[in-house]
Parts: sequence; C-alpha cells; structure tokens
Amino acid sequence: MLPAELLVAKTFRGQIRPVYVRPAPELLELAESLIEIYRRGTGKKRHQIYSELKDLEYGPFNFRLIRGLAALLDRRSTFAVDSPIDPYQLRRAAFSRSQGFVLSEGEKGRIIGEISEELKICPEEVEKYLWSDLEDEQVMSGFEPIAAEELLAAYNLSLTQTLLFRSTVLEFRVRENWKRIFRRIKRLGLMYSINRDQGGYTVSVEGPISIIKLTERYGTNVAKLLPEIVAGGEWSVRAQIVSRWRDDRRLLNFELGSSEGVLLPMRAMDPEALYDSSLEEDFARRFASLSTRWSLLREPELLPVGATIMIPDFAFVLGGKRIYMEIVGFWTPDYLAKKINKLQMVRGVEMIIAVDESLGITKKIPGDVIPFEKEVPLKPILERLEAAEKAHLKFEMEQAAKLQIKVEGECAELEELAASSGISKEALRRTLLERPVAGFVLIGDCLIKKEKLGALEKLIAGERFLSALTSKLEAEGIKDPYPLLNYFGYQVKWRGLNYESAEIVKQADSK
Amino acid sequence: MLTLRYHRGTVLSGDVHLPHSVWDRSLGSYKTLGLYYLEALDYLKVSAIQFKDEVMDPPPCTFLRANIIPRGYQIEALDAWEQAGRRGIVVMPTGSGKTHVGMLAIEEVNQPALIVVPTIDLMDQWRRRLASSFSIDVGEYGGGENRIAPLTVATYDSAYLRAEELGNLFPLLIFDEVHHLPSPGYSQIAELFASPHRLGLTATYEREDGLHRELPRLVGGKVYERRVGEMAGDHLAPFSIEKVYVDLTPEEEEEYRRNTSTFREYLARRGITLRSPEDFQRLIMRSGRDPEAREALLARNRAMGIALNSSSKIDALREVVSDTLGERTLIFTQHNQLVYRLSKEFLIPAITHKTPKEERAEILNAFREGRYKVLVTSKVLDEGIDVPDASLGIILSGTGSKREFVQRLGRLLRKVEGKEARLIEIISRSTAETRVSYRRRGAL
Repeated sequence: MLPAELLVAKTFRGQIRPVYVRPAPELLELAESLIEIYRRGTGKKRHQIYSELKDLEYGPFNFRLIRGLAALLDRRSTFAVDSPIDPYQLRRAAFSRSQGFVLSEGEKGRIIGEISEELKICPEEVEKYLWSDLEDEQVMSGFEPIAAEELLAAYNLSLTQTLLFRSTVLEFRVRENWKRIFRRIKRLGLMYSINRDQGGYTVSVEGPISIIKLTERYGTNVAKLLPEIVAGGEWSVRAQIVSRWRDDRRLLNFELGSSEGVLLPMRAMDPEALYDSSLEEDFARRFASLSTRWSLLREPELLPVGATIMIPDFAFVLGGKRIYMEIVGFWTPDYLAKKINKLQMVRGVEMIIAVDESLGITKKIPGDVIPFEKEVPLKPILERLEAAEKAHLKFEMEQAAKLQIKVEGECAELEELAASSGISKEALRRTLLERPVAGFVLIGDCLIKKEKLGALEKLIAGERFLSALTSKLEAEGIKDPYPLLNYFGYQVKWRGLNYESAEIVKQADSK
Repeated sequence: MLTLRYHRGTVLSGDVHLPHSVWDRSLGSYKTLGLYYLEALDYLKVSAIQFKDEVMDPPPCTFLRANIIPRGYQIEALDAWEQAGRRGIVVMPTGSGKTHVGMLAIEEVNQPALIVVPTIDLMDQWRRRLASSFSIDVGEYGGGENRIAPLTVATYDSAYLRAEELGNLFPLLIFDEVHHLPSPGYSQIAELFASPHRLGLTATYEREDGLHRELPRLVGGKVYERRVGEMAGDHLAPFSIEKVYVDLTPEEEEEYRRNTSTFREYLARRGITLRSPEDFQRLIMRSGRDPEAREALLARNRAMGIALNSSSKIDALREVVSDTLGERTLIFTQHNQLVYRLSKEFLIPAITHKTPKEERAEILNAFREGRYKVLVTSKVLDEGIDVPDASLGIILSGTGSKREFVQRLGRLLRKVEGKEARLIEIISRSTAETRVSYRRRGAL
C-alpha cells in the first residue's frame, strides 16, 4: 500500500480506476533506473538517494508514479546510523557545555576543542556527527533487489490497495484459492455474505457499521484481501470507493478482473497472508502416511451456520460419509469466543474438534473434543474414524438389505452397483456375502452369473500370459483378474519384473 | 421483551426501530451507532416501551476518589458540565489544569472511564497523574501495551482501531485535546462508543477547517470557557508579545520575489483567487493533476521557506538571546530542518517529533533544572508534553494557526510568583510572513 497522496487514478462518469502501468519499454526502463539508484545506494545517505530520485521527477513521468515506485523500493532497503561515535553522547557533551546556547564563535570553538579531546575525535567531526542519527543522515546498509517487471506488478497491486483504502464495500468473485481468502476475511473481522454459483463464489465484504454510515473505516482491511484474490487464476472485484472531492463525498465504482490482463503479482506477496497454520500442514502430512480407507479433504465445502458459514479445516471422506475436523490452535480470545459460538450452532454434521490444551478452553467447546499439545494426535482420530466406519457400515448394510439388487448382463462390478445405489462398496460386498443374489456368485468385487463360470474357466485355461488374459476379461466386464484366478486355483508367476512375461499357472494342490 | 445489545460499535434493538437506526439483514435486527445509545434510552422511556438494557458492560470498579485540591474555576467548569447532562466541552488555556477537571468528572461519575489523548507522552502523563490521584492501577491502550483497567488511557489512534471492542466498557469518555476528534477518522471513536457521559477538554475549540461544528453532536457543546486574556495575571502569568522585524538578505530577497511572482502569475493566468484555507486546499488537490499548479505551489513553498528561514533571523536570534541570556527560553520553528541548523550553529539542545523518548526526557529534565537555559523545537511541543516552566518564547517561524500560537504561548504562562512572560516573534519584513503573524494573533 502507498500513502494516499501517491494514488494516481482517473474518474469517469462515476467510475474510478488507478492508472496502471504496463510493462512497456519506457516504464521498464524507468523501473530499472530506480532500482539501479537503490542498488548503487549502499553506503549513501538517505537524503542523497532521495535527491537522486528527485532528479528523475523532472522527466516525462508523473512524479507520483516515481515516488510510488520508490516507496516500494524503500521498503526493501535498510538504513543504519554511520558514525564512529554515538551521536547522543556527542550531543550530551555539547549541550552540557553550551548550557543551551553559545553566543560567540570563539566560545563555540573552545567547546568543540574540549569535546574532541575528551571523545578522541577531530574537531570537524563534532559538528558533522552531532545529528548523524537523524533519518535523513542515515546510510543505506542493504537492499533486496527486485526485477523491473516485478516492481511494476507490485506497484499496480499497491495502487489498487491504496484505492481500496477508501472503499466501503467490496464484492469479488473467485474460483480458486477461496479458503485462504475466507480465513483472511474472518481474521480481519469483516462481515461477509456469500453466493455459490458455477463452481465459484461471489462474496461481498463490509464492516459492521458500513450499512449505517458511509465509512472508509474497513478500507485497510478490505485492501489486505486483495493480494490473495488476485493471486488465484480467475477473479474479478467490484468495490465502492468514497471520493472526497471538495466538500462532496461521493461513491465511485471500481471494477477489475483477471481477464483485463493488468500486470499484477501472481502470488500473494504479503507474508502475513501465508499463515495457513503449520498445525494443519503437519496433520495432513502425518495423516497421509497412514493406511486407512478414509481420505482427507483439505478444502471441504462451506457449512451453513446460522446466518453465516463456516469452513472446517478438514473433511474425512469415506463413500458417502463425511466427518469434519476443525483444529483450534493459537488464536486471540475474541476469535475463540466467536469460534465457540459458531461451533455451538453447527447442526446435523459430525465434527471432531481438536483443541490446543494450552488455550484452557477445552471445556467450553461443545461437541466431540480432542485435546492436544503441540501436535494433533492421530490415534484418537483413527479410533473415531474406525468406529464411524463400523457404524456407518452397519447403517448401510441395513439400507442395502432393503434394496432389490438387479444385475443386468452376466457380470457387474460392485463399484458400479454401489455408485448407482448410493451405498458404499464395502457395505454392499458384506451384504451380498450374507444374502447372495440368486443365480450369481460374488468373486472379489464382481458379481458373476453362475452359468458364465464355465466359459470363464475355459478362457483362463486357454491363456498363458497374464497380460492377454487381463484384456480378455476386461472385455467381459471384469476389471480385476486376480480374484477369479484365485477362485479357479490359478497363480501368477512373475519372470522378473516384466508384466508382459508374467504367466498363469495352475496350482498343484488345487482341485 | 426487547433487549438492547452492543455489537461492534452499534446498538442492536431487534425489531424496534429507534431514531437513526437501520435494518441489518444479516443480523436480523435494527441497529444504530453507539453514539445514539443515550437517545435510544430516552426514546424507549418516552414511548413507554418495555426493554432490558444490556448495552454497557463495564469492568468492576472500586469507589473512585481523587486526591486533588481543585481551584474555583475548575469546580465551576465541572458544575457547568453536570448541568449540561454530563456531556460537553470545557475550554481552558494550557497550564490551567484541564487534567484536574477530567479527574473531577471521573470522581463525579464514579464509574469506569476511558481517557483519549493524542500522543504517547500525554498518555504517560495522564496515566501517572491518575495513578497517583486515585491510587489505582491505570490501564493503557496504544504505545505497545494493551491493558484494560477501570481507568484506562488510550491514544486517538488505538481508540479508533479498537473502538468496536472497547465501545461498551466505559460509561465515561474523556477526550483530551478534543479539537483532534472531529477529523473524518477519529470522529468514529465518538460514534462507535456507547459511553453515555462525555467530556471534551481543549485550549482551542475552533479548527481552521471548521469541523468543530461537529463537536456538539459527538461530545456535546461548549459548556465552559476561559480565555488566555481572562486568566492572565489571575491564574496564569501576565505576559507581553513583541515583534522583531528583519530584512531578507539581498540574495534571499531576489529569490523570494522570483518565486512569489511565479506563483502569482499562475493564479492570474488561471483566474484563481485564494480567500480561505479551503481555496488553498483545492489548489493543492489540483496540483496532483496539473503540473503547472504543482510548479506554482512549489515556488510558493520555496518563497515561504526563504521568509521563514532567512539567515537574517539567525542574526536577530543571536541578538535577542544575548540580551536575555539567563532567562529560560523556548525557541519555536516551523520546520525540523531549521531546528537542526540552529542546534549545530549555537549548540542548542533540540527536540523534534523524531527525538527518542529517553533523550527528550533527559533534555526536558536538564531544562527544568536550569542546566540548559535554551531549547529549540519544532511543532512537537505545541501541545501535550509537560514542558518545564519558561519565561521567554521566541517564535522564529510558524504557521498562521491560532491554535499553534495559543499553545506556544501557553508554554510560558504557568503562574509563578513575580514572573512576567514574554513572547517574541521574529518576522521577515515585507513578506507574506507578516500576514501569517497577523492571522495567528487573532487568537487573543
């Protein structure tokens, strides 16, 4: 973000738009020369660098563009006091002797002589370093370089943020990256409403008093959302900007979308934005290494909670079953109060809540709480998932028992049957083992008509190689050859690791 | 039954429409700004609507008793504020004990209070004085530490940022240097806080931009006023103001003429006349788009810089100080640049807004003890900082602001037996600075 006076924008018929820079040769050259001033600035005083920048202002470019670019470069530089002696100490020595004012040059010379003797510096250095700790007198000690095009992109982003400073309402549409955006909205204490459509979200954000009063109060917070929004693929934003022209306060519209191709940073630059808790990162990694039939979803859908929504951290998914998990790590008391309030309103979904014990709020949280220290434990979660799996299986088997399973054709994969009946494959398999479908045998995950078995056995007996058999079985609608081979007493014999040369062999001890 | 609740700077009144309230769809309630809480209570009582009031939620508070001896006019000021329904602004010159009036109000209301101040220094000052007068722990907001206590001091900045969460904790809200309040940002402190009792304190009620007309709505009107003139001699030291005119050097003169004519020619060419500070503001805005306007403004600033920083003034300063050496003297300038130049030239201790707190305290202390006789400063000492007593003020350069002038004068007026304060303005003759000086003295 830039100081307000460096905003360059044009208004036209109720619209406002920053004057964006394009990566045109002359602008890249300008950026390059500014970067060069900073790159060569090491060892120079701040006011010297500023006066070099000032010279560029007499060129053909808007001085505010130059100052804006310079402001961004300033943030990448560090300055330090350059003095052989602590200037504060020097001032003390000088003022205590002058008692506040020297009347003559002679007296001043005498005092300076005394100081230079006492502090072991040359007399000229007394005046030279007396105020060397002032900002303007400080010397550049480091600069983190940036490419010219990157600088222009950062400038365009900053311009837009500076404009959004003065916004009352922001509406944006995104297709990707939305979870981070929503978290940021929540963290910034903004109010929002959301519409989901065609795989994307249209969100409008405002401050709590925006509807009562035309206020720029939340503009800074709204502006902080921008880097996240523009970092993700397809997006568009619309905002209302309060403009102060003379004594009038007017609302102007601002619109921008990814399709316009304005040069902007492709990833969020604000390090504060990359706060996706490492707790979650860590949990996802450890969970992935487990063997469980549940899969972990990191960006599950939004859950409606009262008048608002909640985004759980995770969802565990198995078949049609979902269990959500929220990790409550370190947060501010205010945020926690809101979170508890929200969790109390969650209805009709199963949710595991992992709470950091050091927060001391474990008891206040409603629902299924797993306390943790440092990292979220896997064991209690797995126990819950297994229990849930069993319970769910039982429930599904009850459902499956009520179903009339009809198989068309001679073979049917359980997977397809499961998909069409809305019951998990596992539940269906168990049900079929207990209550077989008349005229069919369940082999592996495939239901096969009894009359078909003879033909299949013949087919297997006539093949030597696994690869050829696999494709023939696939043509019959059987995806996995192993259960069938097993059923008829065959084995696969590998010669090396080559799939093409794997053979089928009749087991000696079979019938 | 209707329950009034506080929600982030607003008062929620369910489905009852109150004055100034609007419907919030997502909350399913009417809401109005915290500022109108008192009005809402009146309205509900007058309309005989039954309601429960859960708006204020102050922290538990001991009985508050201030260990101070107030002066007669301070009690008068408090009475006037009481009469006005515990809302309103007390205007008194610097050095006349506004802090005492604030503490009397706290004692009177005897409930938690938030004191809002413009600077960290004032925050420290209030905190120390409250702690010693009421013998309790005082909270603070701003300056790194955020801690709430029944008596809490906050800067305008942090009160603004935290208004939504702090807005229902303090039944009494005191704005020190209340002329800061009516800016577009800060005024929201008064709007979001629900505090029913409000007191504003200042030495200068009027603002150049006219925004003080907002104050009656935000805090209450002016309920008590004492001017510098009325109090000089009685409660403040008697004073005199002198002017010393200097001529620009011939080079400065030429430079000055050239720049002023660039500015005037631009105005004439565009047919612009400048009659008010607003006109000037407009010109500044114009300079953003119009390079010629910008060039003209830069020329005007250069001309003003020459008049304000003329080397003749430095010679004049040397003379004035020679004549008065031994008197405790404050030198005021408009720009920091001149502060440092003078400091190097005459080895004068200097304070600007960049001076670290520790160094500033040390300098002020040495000044108080008489080890330093002279101090040079830019705007930073204009308000707030507890500056030791001085008897001579020299204005080397300044703006036309009446407030700045009154505050600079106020630095000299703390009453000490037998003291007569002097304020000397050093002005470049035949330049725009003479008008500037004329404008600011309108304050008396």
